[in-house]
Amino acid sequence: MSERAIPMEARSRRFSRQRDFARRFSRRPAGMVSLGVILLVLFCAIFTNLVATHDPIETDFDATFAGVSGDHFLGSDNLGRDTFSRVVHGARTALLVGLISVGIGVGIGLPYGLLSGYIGGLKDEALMRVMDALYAFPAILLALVVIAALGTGVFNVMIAIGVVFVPVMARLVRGSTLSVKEMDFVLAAESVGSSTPRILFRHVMPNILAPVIVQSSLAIGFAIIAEAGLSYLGLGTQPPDPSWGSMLGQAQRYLLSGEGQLAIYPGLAIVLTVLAFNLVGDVLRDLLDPRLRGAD
Amino acid sequence: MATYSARRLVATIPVIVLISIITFFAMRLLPGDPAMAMLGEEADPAVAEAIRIEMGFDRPVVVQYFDWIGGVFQGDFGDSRRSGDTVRALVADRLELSIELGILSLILAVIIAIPIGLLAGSRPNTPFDYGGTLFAVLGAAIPNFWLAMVLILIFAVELGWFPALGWTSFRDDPIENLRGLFLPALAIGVAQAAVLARQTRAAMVEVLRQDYVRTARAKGLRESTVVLQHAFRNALIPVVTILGLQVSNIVGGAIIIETVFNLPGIGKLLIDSIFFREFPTVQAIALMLALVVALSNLFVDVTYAVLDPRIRYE
Repeated sequence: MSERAIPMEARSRRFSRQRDFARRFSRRPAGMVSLGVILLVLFCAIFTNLVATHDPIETDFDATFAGVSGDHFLGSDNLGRDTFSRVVHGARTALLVGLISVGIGVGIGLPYGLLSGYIGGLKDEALMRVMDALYAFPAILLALVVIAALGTGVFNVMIAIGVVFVPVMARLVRGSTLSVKEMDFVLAAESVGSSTPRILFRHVMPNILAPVIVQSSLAIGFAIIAEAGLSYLGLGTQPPDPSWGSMLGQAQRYLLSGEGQLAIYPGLAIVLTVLAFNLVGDVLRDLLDPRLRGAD
Repeated sequence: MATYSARRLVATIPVIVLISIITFFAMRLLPGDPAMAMLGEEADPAVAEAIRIEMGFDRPVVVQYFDWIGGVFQGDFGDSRRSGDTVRALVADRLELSIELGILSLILAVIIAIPIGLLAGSRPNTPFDYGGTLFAVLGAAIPNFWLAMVLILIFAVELGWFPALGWTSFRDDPIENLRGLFLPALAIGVAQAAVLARQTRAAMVEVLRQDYVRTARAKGLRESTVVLQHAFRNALIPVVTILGLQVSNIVGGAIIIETVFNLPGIGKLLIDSIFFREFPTVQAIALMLALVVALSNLFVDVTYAVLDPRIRYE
């Protein structure tokens, strides 16, 4: 075998593994439909101005509480703002918060868990007790504590939800690291004198990514609900910027006065998007990490 | 058993200490002056200075922590500037409602989840199973506060069966109290029921594969006896483990739901305190709720060890 043939073969093996994964994923109708929904939401989030029919913060006092019509596909709110356009713009906030907060959780939790699991012993115990303490806070409470400290606003909401994910990711990664670090290829890397960062990121990390990917998909769903909840309370996205949660917060005021339709569409948008991320997470779990099936 | 319980208790102590440290120092994360943070940017510097001395912000932060935690041990959580009351009195006033709401949510979650999980798990791949799975998947994706709004629209506005807002104390009128708390408890409980139903289903499927179930069937017992007497009781053991998680989720759920229904509980007090920058109240509530969760986790672990002796020897 020539020297060049080895990487070529490895590359083609990886390509065929990816193709095999795509084929297995495509056989799961729930996964495919959910992926379609996520792509649709992503499209709305990126090409908001293309999809939205109105300016989401433009008021029109001649069209307050308008019903469904050709001009307002989903009606309008108390200030005559177009509900459809606000829902479309809300997709951007939801996805942005979802992706960035999960990114923060993985960005801190992954190296933390890797290091804790790899070094082991008393240091591991001490590091994990800190995570246990963070984990003892109900997710929304921890996010609220962070917001109480940092102040309101969508950027602080991203940090707050990201902090919630840190112990989740750290505990998950640490558990996987404990089993992977005993494997022969890690011992081999240690015996040839590889540095700790190299062992962690080059050898251990690729082998623990599957549960992290699964958990991230489920976490995005949770982040979208959490952002909506915090914005509903008035702590996240601030008016007049549209977010599904703040739309629901405004709709709450008109719930008892016969304008309940305002609460329907932003809520449905949240449910559909979260459902899609959760179902994709479930399918990924089945395909990537069969051991986790039925774990929750 | 006693050794295991003692070991778990000892392991919980550092977690509790860390919870108190996190709660305290989180409020000091903000760069700059905490007195100005409490009062807002336009505050009078002289007032801010007075607050700084009154709250002890001028002393080293470690001293402030030990002062605070020392007070906590004596039941002194500080004062609420807005109401002029002590934080302890404010929290105590709202405790009854929040505890009742939490217990009702848990009861509703169990009442909804167990039959669904039992039916789905004992009849895999039938319409019962698909229905149960659909409930579990949807329940996890619906935000509790949106569900609360939909419940208000249907059962309070349209049908008029339950009040949309407000609360009556159980001692004043038990029926009105339960009517007022039913929708909030349902809004919190459904998501928990979804998780519980999923877990019960998985546990039932697993248990029904066991040899002793086959033996029970082989000796001619009725299917209902096999499912309820032999399988269900054992399937409940893994379900108990997630009850700790449920307590955490219910505490979290109640924070938002109390605001939706305008219920004067701990959660509503927390949200109001965040808006009014009442840091001592936020600290006290955060500490209390995290402790409730940590202790319920401890309780669940020990209960689990009683139910499943294998745990003690791991």
